[in-house]
Amino acid sequence: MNITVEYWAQLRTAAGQPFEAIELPAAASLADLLEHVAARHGPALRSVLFDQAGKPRTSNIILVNQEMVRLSECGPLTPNAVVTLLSPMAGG
Amino acid sequence: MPKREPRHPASSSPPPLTAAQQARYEWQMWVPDFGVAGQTKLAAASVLVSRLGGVGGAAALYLAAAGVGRLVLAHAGNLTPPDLNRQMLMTHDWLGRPRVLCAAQRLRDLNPDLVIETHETNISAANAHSLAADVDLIVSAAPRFEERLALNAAAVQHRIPLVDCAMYEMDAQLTCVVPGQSACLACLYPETPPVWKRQFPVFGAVAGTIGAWGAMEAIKLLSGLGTPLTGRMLMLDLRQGMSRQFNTIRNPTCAICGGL
Repeated sequence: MNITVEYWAQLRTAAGQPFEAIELPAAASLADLLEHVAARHGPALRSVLFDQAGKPRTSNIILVNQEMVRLSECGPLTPNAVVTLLSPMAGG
Repeated sequence: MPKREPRHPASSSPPPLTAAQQARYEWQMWVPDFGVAGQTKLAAASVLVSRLGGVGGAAALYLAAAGVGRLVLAHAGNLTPPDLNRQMLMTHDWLGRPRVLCAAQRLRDLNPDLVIETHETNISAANAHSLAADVDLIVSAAPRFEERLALNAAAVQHRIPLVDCAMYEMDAQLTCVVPGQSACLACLYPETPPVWKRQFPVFGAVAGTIGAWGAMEAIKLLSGLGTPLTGRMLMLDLRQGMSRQFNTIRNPTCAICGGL
């Protein structure tokens, strides 16, 4: 299924683009998507999404179809979903 | 953790505006639903602004211009050349001297009627509670999450709203925390983000945009005007000229606000 991923802040820098379309197996999970984009874009993006033990960081905000979700509570993604990944920012 | 009763600046009975205040703030008192009542609330309000850099400086400037009666400013360190692309309260001739004092002087030049309290220190878990003890609202604009999360805990403890303004490169974001009503920063960031760096790319205009917007949110929260971004996060992409917002969600097990 086709999923659009949007990147904000440091994740945008790490991905080198504001958004992209990716293909995932049907009923793939949000965790599957994070692993997919981390593998696709390499260490810079992976380090923002995952800690050194490979556990997803809790400090990124994730939206699915413009609704904030928690990774642990999000069901399978649906075709044509838009996933927004917002890494933390605190610039003052 | 001891907690006090919530403050309700909008429901207090502040003194009436003087003739000079009515003249100074005339144009904004023309704003529907604000008027003399809104201005009177601002004149009686106290706001803590954490850091007076690109974001906090812009917020403090517009709060001073709007006539918020008392500003408590916290910022450590002396002015350096790299500060000057975005820290609009600073002046070139102040290089090498404390930034918070320069900010206070600029704000007094703009509006000498305000009470301005300066602290040459940054927010920490050790001082956030005391600095927030006698204010009605906090503007959070520090470049480190440790400071923002300490302010958030103080806001929750004192049951006062917090306006959190942030930026990175040409992105910016803003949310209003009202303890017990909305997600707090610890709901959104349960851990201090390890990947955030103290230094980051930014234009002054990006910082000023989100700082000014934060001031407007503070004015709304203090006066009861409009609909604040409580429980919502505004996202700005100034590279593309795009904005978006979404509803934040509370964490029922949040270590800071989960019990409210």
